[in-house]
Amino acid sequence: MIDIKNLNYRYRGTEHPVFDDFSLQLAEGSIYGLLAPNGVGKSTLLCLIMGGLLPDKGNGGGVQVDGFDVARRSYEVLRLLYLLPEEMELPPVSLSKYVRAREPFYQDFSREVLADCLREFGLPADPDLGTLSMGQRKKVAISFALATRSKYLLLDEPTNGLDIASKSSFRRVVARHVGDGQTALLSTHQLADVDSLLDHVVVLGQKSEHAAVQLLLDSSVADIAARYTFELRSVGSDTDPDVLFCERRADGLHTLTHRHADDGETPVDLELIYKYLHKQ
Amino acid sequence: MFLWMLGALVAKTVVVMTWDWARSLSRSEEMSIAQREGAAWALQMLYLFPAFLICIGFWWVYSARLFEDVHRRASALDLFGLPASNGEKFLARLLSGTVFIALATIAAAVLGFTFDYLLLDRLADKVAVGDYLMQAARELPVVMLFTTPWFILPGLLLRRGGWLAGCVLTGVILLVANWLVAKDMWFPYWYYGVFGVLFLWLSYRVFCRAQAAGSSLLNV
Repeated sequence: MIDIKNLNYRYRGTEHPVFDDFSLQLAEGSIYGLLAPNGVGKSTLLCLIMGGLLPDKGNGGGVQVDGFDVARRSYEVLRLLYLLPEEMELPPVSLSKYVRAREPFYQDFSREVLADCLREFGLPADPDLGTLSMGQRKKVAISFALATRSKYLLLDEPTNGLDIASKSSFRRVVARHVGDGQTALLSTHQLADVDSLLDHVVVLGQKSEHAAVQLLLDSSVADIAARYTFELRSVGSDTDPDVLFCERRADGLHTLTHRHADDGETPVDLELIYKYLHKQ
Repeated sequence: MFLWMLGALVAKTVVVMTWDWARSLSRSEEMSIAQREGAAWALQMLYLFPAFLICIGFWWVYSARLFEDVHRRASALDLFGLPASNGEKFLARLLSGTVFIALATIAAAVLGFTFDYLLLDRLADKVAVGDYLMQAARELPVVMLFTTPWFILPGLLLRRGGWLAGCVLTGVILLVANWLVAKDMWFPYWYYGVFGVLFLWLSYRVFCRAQAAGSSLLNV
């Protein structure tokens, strides 16, 4: 479990904290979506979870992964985590050379998973990393991340830079290779790319521009379906007092209401609930 | 680095050969031993001493940039996220970045000094030149060994100007040492070693607290 408790963090030289007494728990065995507008602190949170940034001391808060304090950056905790940052640097060497150098650090590294992901993305088995485009480097990095088979995979904006077909490939490789014992945390502001993968949703927000990050929603998709009803109605239904939020789209009026006990469950529209939470 | 040294050697060769040719045109009799020793001393001040400084200067800048990737977010995340302890990462970088490069620098310096010796042999007494060369070859590794941590620490701590801060730090340490000696005060032979060990330990502590993003100046 990733246990974030009373987390405080402020970038050096700035006045306003990014996180102020922030708490969140991520259980094992789920694919989490970390949703928030740009600049709120998704990448910062991932870096704090992985130990790239260190929480401010003071109230004893911090991040623990399976009981280990991440701030110590010990081998025991780092072997459980893998962060794929939004921007990464790959050395100008062949992929096989890169894998040979890195593979010993990951006990469960799987060359079969790597090969399968590269095939799915339409990449050669051993590309020269120095000659790849940004999108191709992203695909290699995603393939490598999945091949490490780390217990906790932190993917920061994984679909940025991918073309439309590659986004489908991304969904397929994640669904295929993130096993039951693994947890994936996908940070994104492009919900449509990943919503079909998610078991659990975490939505972050801010009350105002310089306010600390708040947890707006921490719920499984199943719980969301049990609590809310998502309907497509005709225009004019937005005056219904039961409607919590509505959005006019090309196919009609999408509405969000509380689910009554005798109502059947409806497919979850994560974009709608995300916008509802941020409107509040 | 090797190209720079090669270029410096070629430049020196050209200058020395030109000077030799100019002197041979104006010389009407054989040079005395004193004149030869004077010429040797002048050549070493002009060429060997700067070569010594170039090696040291390069080594100091290189030491300050040994952990340069910690200053860039992407490479810092890559390094911090690697499943190994802080101690293993620090030691691996320190050894691979210093021992091998130090050996290569010393080898290049010895080659350069030997080449200088062959040139200077044409103008000055062999024994005098040999003494200067051996002294330089002995002192270079000692200076590199003791001063490396004096540059690693500011290079790790500061996002910009680490090598410059290292030069200031070195200047302060040497000034204090010279003052102690000038005042006939107690000056232990392990003075430089203590600073080396202390700064190495501080560098490790800074590495443990370094972050992928920090203030514009400090890396912690």
